[in-house]
Amino acid sequence: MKPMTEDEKNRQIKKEALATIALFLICFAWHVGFGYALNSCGIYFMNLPLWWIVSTPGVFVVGVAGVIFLLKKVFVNFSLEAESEDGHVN
Amino acid sequence: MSTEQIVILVVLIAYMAINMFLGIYMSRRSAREHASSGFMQNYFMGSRSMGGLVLAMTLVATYTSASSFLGGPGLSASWGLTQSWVAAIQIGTAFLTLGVLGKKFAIISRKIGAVTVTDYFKARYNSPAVVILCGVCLVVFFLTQMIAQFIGGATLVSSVTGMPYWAGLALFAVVVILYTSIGGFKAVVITDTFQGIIMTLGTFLLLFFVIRAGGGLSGITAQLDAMNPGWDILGKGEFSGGLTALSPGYMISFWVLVGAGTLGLPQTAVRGMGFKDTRSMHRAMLYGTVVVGILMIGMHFAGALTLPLLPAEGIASTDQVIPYVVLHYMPAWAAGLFLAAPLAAVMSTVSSLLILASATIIKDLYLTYIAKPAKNGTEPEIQKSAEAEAAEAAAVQKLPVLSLLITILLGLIVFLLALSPPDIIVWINLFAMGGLEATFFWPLIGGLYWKKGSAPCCIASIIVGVSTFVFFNQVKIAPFHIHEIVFGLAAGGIAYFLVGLLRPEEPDPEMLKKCF
Repeated sequence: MKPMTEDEKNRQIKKEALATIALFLICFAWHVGFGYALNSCGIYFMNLPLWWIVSTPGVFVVGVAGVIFLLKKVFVNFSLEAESEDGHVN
Repeated sequence: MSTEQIVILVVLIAYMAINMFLGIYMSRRSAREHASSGFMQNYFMGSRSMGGLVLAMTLVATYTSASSFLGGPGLSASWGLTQSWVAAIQIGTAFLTLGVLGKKFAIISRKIGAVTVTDYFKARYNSPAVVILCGVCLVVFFLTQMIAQFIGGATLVSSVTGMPYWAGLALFAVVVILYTSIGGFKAVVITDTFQGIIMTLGTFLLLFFVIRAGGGLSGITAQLDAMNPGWDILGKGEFSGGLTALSPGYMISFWVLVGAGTLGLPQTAVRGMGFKDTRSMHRAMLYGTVVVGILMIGMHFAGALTLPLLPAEGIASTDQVIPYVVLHYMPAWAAGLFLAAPLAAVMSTVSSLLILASATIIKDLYLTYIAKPAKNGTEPEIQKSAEAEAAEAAAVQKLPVLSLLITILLGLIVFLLALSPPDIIVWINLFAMGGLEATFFWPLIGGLYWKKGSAPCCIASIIVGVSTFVFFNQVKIAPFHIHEIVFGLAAGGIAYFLVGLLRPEEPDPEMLKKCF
């Protein structure tokens, strides 16, 4: 766990929130975009239309992969208790 | 009652018994372990001890309601894959709520001892008007949502077991009211976890039996081509019959109603106050996203495949589709297990709403404005008059009994109203989810991330947001069939920030220290 001051934590939380919203917007664009873009392409896999596969189970994969990425690259562990002045972590 | 119905009933009763035992036993154990945290923190927040799996499951189970198992998949039978496309929007619920609200809430609620969203508002905005407005909205909308859930569950139980409606209602209502009122928040989240697992299993069971009964995926899709042209087109194309609900504007609006807007649901937001550490929250973001994806996409996809299994003369209502398929194409044991899933969805939603409604009444309304002890009950102030101290001690001593009674009383009100629901309940419930979002979204987001956000901002945002939402719901004049929640949230947001910019208030340094 990283020792952090209150200010550092607040900056980190803001960064995490923005990254989360970015992932949410990517999911939105993927889901709506591929849904309508591929709607009339007429391609099927296992009798299921491509638009559905890419946009519906697809957005699930994008969402899960995106969360894994966020947790690895953006999110940081820190103590949730109020810190003392020197940023000490118990 | 047929043998099949008896087997189903036995499975359901066993399931209820497990929930009851788990809820009460685990909450007792936790209350002993965390005895030092005090009654309020234990009963209403489980002492902030949730790990990753429990947090993920309680978030998903609270959010997932009867309609995810009955109404939604039932609609899939006629709308085809389009319905599961819409359901997939909910993929963001878990990671968005935790990623945006989780850590902020965790830190602030530890500082101020908050156990409800309204608690947080009290510290952040320091305004009785905001607290009372939010508290009342919450209790009213929660009551109607609980009643709607109870009705859904009771109809299901009576239709599959042949029991009368009131007995079906009593079967699970008594269980959920008992474990919630006795065990509090801890019982709610532990049973939520168990119920979430049952819901996930139920989804796989349904998919398996539907595909098997329909003669494999290719067999089913061939029949769907003949029976339901347009099942494989987004919005059903030329086969949509001009339905508003299938137009792009309306469907994409769900990215607000069940997507971004879920940030404003107090029952899921409050989970951000209850986890143990950041590691638990990170895990929950992942588990929660996986589980919600399986449930929503899986159930609605299965629903789309049920059409060939339905009787040729059609079926009375979309809510009956899944029960019909379960009764006719699943062995009794599997049917019992599957039916436990929608009941689990009902129970987990109701229990969470019940405990939060009770916490709001007790802590935010009763303790603050009626009993008036100094500040929050968990952190005794250093300087206090002897009288105030005695009064507080008396109030705190009464809390366990009072909380139990209020929770039971709320449960009973819901139970009685669900027996013969008045029309007004059905009407209010139409607004419940959007109304909660329009009330809580901006006060929450603005409060957490904008220091200039003040009490007048909240009041303006709630009044403008909720009335815009209701207005567009009543007069259908929206362009592109856009859902009323989009306008409600947009107007509420404009009101919040406009008031904050036009009427700047110097933020109270004490508040800044606690809430930022």
